[in-house]
Amino acid sequence: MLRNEGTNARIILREKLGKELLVFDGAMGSQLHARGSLPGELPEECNIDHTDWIVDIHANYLESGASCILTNTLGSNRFHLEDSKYSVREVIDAAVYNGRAAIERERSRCEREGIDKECFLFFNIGPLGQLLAPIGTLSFEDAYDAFAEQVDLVKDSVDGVLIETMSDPYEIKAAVLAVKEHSDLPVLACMTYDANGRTLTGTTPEAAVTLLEGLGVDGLGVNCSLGPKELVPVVEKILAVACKPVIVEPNAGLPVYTDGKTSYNVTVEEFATYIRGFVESGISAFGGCCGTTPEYIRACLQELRDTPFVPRVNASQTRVCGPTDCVRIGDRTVVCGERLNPTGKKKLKEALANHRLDEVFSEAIAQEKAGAHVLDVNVGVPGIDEAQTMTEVIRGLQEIIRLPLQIDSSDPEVLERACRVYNGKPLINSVNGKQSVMEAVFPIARRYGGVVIALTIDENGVPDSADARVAIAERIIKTAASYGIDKSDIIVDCLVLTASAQQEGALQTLEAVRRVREALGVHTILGVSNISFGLPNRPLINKTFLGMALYAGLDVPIINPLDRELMGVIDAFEVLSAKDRDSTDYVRRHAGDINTAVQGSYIDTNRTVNDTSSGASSHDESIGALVRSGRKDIIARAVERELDDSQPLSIINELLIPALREVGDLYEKGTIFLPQLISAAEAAKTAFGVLNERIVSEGKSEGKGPVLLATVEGDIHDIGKNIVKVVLESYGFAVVDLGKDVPTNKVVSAALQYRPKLIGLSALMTTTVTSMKKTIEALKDIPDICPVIVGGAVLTGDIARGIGADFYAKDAMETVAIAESLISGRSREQE
Amino acid sequence: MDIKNETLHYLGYTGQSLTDEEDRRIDEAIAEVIEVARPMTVHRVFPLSREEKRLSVPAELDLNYSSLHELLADAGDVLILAATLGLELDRRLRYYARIDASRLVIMDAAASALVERVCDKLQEALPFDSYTFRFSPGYGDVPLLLQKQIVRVLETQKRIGMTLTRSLLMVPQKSITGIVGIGGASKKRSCMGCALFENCEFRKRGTVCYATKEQMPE
Ligand code: B12
Repeated sequence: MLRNEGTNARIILREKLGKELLVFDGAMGSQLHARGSLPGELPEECNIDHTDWIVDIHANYLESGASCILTNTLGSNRFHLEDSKYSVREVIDAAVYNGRAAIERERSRCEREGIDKECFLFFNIGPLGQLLAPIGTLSFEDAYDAFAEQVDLVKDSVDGVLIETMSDPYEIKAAVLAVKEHSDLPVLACMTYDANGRTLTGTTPEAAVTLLEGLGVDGLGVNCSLGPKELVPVVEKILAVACKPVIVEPNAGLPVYTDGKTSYNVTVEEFATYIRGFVESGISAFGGCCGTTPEYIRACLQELRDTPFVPRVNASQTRVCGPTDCVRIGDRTVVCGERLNPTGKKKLKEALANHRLDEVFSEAIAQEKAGAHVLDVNVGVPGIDEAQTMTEVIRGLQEIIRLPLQIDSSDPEVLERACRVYNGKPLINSVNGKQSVMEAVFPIARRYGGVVIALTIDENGVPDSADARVAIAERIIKTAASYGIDKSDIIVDCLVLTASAQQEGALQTLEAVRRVREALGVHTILGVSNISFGLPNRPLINKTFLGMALYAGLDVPIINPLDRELMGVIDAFEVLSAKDRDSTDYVRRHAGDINTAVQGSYIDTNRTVNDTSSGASSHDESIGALVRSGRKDIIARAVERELDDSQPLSIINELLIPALREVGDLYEKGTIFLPQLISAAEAAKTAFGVLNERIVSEGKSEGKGPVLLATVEGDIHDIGKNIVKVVLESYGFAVVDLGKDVPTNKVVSAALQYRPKLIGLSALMTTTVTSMKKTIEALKDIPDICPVIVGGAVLTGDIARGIGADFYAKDAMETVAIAESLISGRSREQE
Repeated sequence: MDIKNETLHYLGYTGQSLTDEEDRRIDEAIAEVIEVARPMTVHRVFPLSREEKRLSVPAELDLNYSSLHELLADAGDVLILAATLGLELDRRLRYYARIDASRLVIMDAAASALVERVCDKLQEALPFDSYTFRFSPGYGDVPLLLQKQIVRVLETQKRIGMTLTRSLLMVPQKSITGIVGIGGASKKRSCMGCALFENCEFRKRGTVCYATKEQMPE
């Protein structure tokens, strides 16, 4: 009986959202504590143990004027309920039943009193209580499954879903996708912010709006966090950019604990005043979070008697975001870093083909440091699983940098998988005028959100004229609209042709850029460096063209951000086009510039600075001395000089190894301490890198290793393991570091993938010795597995033997000795 | 205490000579940690009741372990706290893990020092004048499982963004949970009963992990 009603209510709810003010209930937790539940108890169990409490609380809120109530299910997921006496299903069924019972009670009250009122039951979803990988350990897929399990249980029995109290954008993405893919319920999504105006994981309100609107929620906003007063700036920021209805549910201020009891510091009247302010600025729904009671809701409605409902309407902007921040396109020039694209880059190709992702990550870091705002990511090299590599690279990048990414592939399957795991709203590269491509790509953008790059090319190739390119752009924008994708989520690439081949092409491209901006009102992107193929002094052509394109209206140049001259053109353009107010950024970046024009050459100022500093500070430039003083910045050049006269292996045996021995001894004796040891080890590692390249290119050997290292599952103490890693590397071993808290199956699959010569496991806690044992047992099941060495202060030789390890080392130096005795990869005897 | 001293202590510093350059790098790393860290704490104080040798507090929190009985023997109330330096710092540390190992170890040590300091500050700001030392689940016979209860009682996820992994470790990584007795004689910490007694890198150098050389009672 309730089910049919549910479907109907959904339609009504969707109609009301954003057209009239929706009133939600207040806190559940504090109401339960007031009735006697203890801190630390699972409130969800009350759905079954104290049905009467729950129904009463709901009914009180309805009676106080709320029309939307939330089931008591914030923590009703498989992780929170792990230790509960009840199952997820039991809890959720009971919670929905209680909600319906309260609505039933309200209905009869209204009937009795002749009131016309519609009530809605929202299923409440909260955080899982575990942080998602890569920062935490819960996988995105497992998070999604946990939410989907909840949604499956209510998809026919509630009227909508309210996702609340989320601080991690990645988790809220998993939740929204689960709701949308497992039901047709309207979904509202709220995050919580702290006093800095960001969520606890660092996300800004603007980035949250960007992500959530991309995912297609029906409404979004903020709950919990702080009191209403502290929320004002957050709500303002949301209202300034949101196109979807906005919901706000503040706490009744901040908690005050006295005698083990909690109270909140904002009065009913104060709360109501702030809510009126929010409604006046354009929110579409409100409720209360921690500490609020039916009195708060009643007071708000009282206060709002004469306040008309005027929801805020915003023009849509073109924005993309990463995990924390968003980048707006169409305001300041947005630099897209081009270097994570293997086309024409031999080193990157090799790195990708051999799964050396660290090199990819360093390239990304360099671009971020150089000032890129977005990074293009393309991993298309033959012979690899592109989708797999793409998702791995995206996850790895989002672990360390905050920039939004541009997912670049010609394979829609790759785009789909990448967009699913991406944390934020990406740029999607690309669609073009071909019907089949649009059919494949637009649904992906629609589902996950994304700004799609539209190339002005179709079945007939790239048209010569600006007219024809604009026409293709127009067609793409129309088609996008038919998929429900607004033109603000399209940016057009009018395509740069090579000037040496098609000289008139440059002006046509720029004309197309201008018209796409002006006539179609859409932003533009261009891969700049294509222009100069085949001409001498390419940078000069690139710079000039970039300046012209920016003036024509280019919003996103795809360039090499490490090219400081090219970046300089953008800085100068921002001044001359009055975008860089008071030239602040320009002055900050260029105040110390040396004028290079006179010399007529292109000087990388970075390098000049380095050269002078190193020349000044170091007198003894022998390789041994450079290792001892940890000069990884200049040791490579010293090694290269040395290579003019000596064989790589004699440099290793006569210079590097003795220096390392000495450093090791000094550390043992306490003459130097940890940072000094590490710096020396890093310098030696750099030297080995240069020598290795030479040795491998001469075909003499394969290099030593790899050694696999991991801090076992359940342990985060990784300082010791990191020391072992750096010291091994300093002796020329290739090390694959799996990180900390590494589950057994990950160690096993890495062992299969890398076929290491030695596996090192680290543990520092009594509890994790067991997981070390488990890991060793699993490894020993692999046929022909290499030896396992263990370490960490909680172990002794005896314990190590007891858990089945082949070797134990008490410190890093001992580890090196053992590794050397086992691995003679580059047999020195050969020489 | 001075955060630089504490950082050096974590790094195993026992008075080695530092070049200006090395000294500057350490200062820079500490400054970066302080810049990126977002220290947050949450705490609650509960009255302790004792019945037939069992400790209880008005919360879902089981304190009945011998290490805690010893810690809280003379205490009237118990302070439960959690502190974290936030996620951005984790991200930054992972970043350095990719490109600069020496920066990583110094920042790691500085972060460990800072999170302890944040707890000290919190305790100083509370209106109590005598505390036991700060005890963390995982020490002595107290299992990490207690973290679960602490996380719920303090609502750490909502208040400071701290959660547990399945193996009961805290994320963000630079986080601490603590149990501190209030009132009565203040208990001092010792290495007796520590699992690392034999091989501890600090003890090898003649120090302990919870105090610098200057702080040691000779
Ligand atoms: C630093 C530290 C931390 C840092 C961790 C920083 C990091 N990135 O690792 C922080 C402050 C974050 C921390 C937190 C915690 N910690 Co802690 N921590 C320590 C401390 C003080 C030092 C460990 C250390 O780094 N030593 C220095 C390194 C260089 O030595 P090492 O690891 O032994 O490594 C050497 C050798 O063993 C060997 N080696 C190491 N690994 C390997 C691997 C291989 C393959 C080989 C061959 C050799 C080898 O070579 C290394 C170089 O010579 C110890 C106490 C102590 N006295 O050691 C406690 C300690 C390990 N922590 C402990 C606990 C319980 C915790 C917490 C759970 C406490 C809590 N509830 O808050 C939390 C968990 C945090 C979380 N996120 O969940 C306990 C564990 C007790 C037990 N019975 O198991 C200890 C022992 C403290 C104590 N006195 O009880 N901790």
